[in-house]
Amino acid sequence: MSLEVIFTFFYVQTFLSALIAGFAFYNYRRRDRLMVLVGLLFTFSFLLNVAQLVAYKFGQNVLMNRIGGLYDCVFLVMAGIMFDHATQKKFRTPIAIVTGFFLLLWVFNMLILQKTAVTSITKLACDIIVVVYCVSFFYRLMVELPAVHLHRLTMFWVASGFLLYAAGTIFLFAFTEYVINQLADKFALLWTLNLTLFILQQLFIVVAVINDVKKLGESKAQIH
Amino acid sequence: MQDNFLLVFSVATLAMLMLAGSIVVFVVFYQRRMLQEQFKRQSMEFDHQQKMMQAELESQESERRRLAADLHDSIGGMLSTIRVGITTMAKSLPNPQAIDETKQMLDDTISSVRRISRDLMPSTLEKFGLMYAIKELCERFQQTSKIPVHFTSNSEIPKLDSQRELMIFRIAQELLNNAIKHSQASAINVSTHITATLALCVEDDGIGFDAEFHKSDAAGNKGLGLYNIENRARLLGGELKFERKAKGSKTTLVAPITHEVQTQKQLAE
Repeated sequence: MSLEVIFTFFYVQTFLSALIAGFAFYNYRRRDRLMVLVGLLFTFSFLLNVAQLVAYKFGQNVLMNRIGGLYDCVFLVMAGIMFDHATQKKFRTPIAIVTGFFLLLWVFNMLILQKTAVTSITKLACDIIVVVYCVSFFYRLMVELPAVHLHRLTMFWVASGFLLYAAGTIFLFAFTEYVINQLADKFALLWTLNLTLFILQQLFIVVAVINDVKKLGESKAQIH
Repeated sequence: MQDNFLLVFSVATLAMLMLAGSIVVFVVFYQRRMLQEQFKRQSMEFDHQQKMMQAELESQESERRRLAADLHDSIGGMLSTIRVGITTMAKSLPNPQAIDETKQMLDDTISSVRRISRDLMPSTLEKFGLMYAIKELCERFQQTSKIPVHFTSNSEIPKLDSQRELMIFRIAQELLNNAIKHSQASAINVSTHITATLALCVEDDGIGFDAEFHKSDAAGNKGLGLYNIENRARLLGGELKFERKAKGSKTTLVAPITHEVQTQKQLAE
């Protein structure tokens, strides 16, 4: 797997982040809070990708890893707020506790465990937490049974995207150290899997934001 | 060793992805199935409610029919016989004009009994159909209230199921009754418009009324007439629209000609 392929995936991912942020912030005053959070998350994602590219151009590999680690922190906090909003604050305390522990782990990892390496420990923790959030959210959906079809629920698409990415990358982050040390030549291949799954997640979220924009159009039509 | 790792890694990742995918698919199918069941349950409840309402209205109608028959055949018949008796008696009296007033009162009573009997069970509806029945209703209301009641129709109302005709007639009767009793109108317009549906419109130029208030608890049992109108409209599978205008009010009933089409539509909603 050549570096060019990885960069192509990386550019696609960056473009999609910008696209999602654009759609999410379109007419943001009339949008649901969830969309604003999605917009913020992917604005961060876009900015951090650009920062990583700049760091790469200047040969700052450690800085690249740090920026990647920063995304984990932003992502988990935002995901926590999103799920809190989607479950109408029913799980606020557990979400706050989990986020608190994660932040402690993140700081500890950044300062001691993986100071210069890819922050695979926090990424793995992030994946596990997000899987739990998503499964809890889907469980709530089954219990509460919203009257609308699920494909019309923005959070359904967001949670599906998060779940697929988190479930798909659990083993990747669990064995990152091993791959880097033992299978260095396969690392690029495995990292492409991470980017591919991230793009898959973004595609789900694109559907979510487009759906939400459509709903905006529908409510406009009802007003007039 | 490396190949083994890659194989196990790929299988494990694929398994996780499939698991995540199946959770999403399961949730979608589960919700769809639950919604279908909920819809089924709701339509059964709706059916049950419709049947209850229909039974209630049918019992009202049969009671009215019985009362109308009793009034017309029994009391009406007896009053007519009394009148013949009085007329015969008058001939034997030295001054027959002395009981003219009593005869007049008796005549008025006989007409009242006939009118009440006709209101309770309109024979015109059965004999000549809905349009003529509504037209006659307007004429009768005009005669009794002295308020001009105009009737217009864009075309002949097709023959409907007798129960549906009776329900539409009752709605017209109740709306006219309300307009005359409460609106302080100087003129009332009744119109029917036939397309794929039947639209019945009763419009007055009175003080107007707030349908929501009359339907609410605040109005006490004053809203019973409206409640009955709404029940009948629901059974017809139709829609009622109350409009308050600058001067007066307008009530429109839009009902399908046949029942099946609208019932399906209501269930789908």
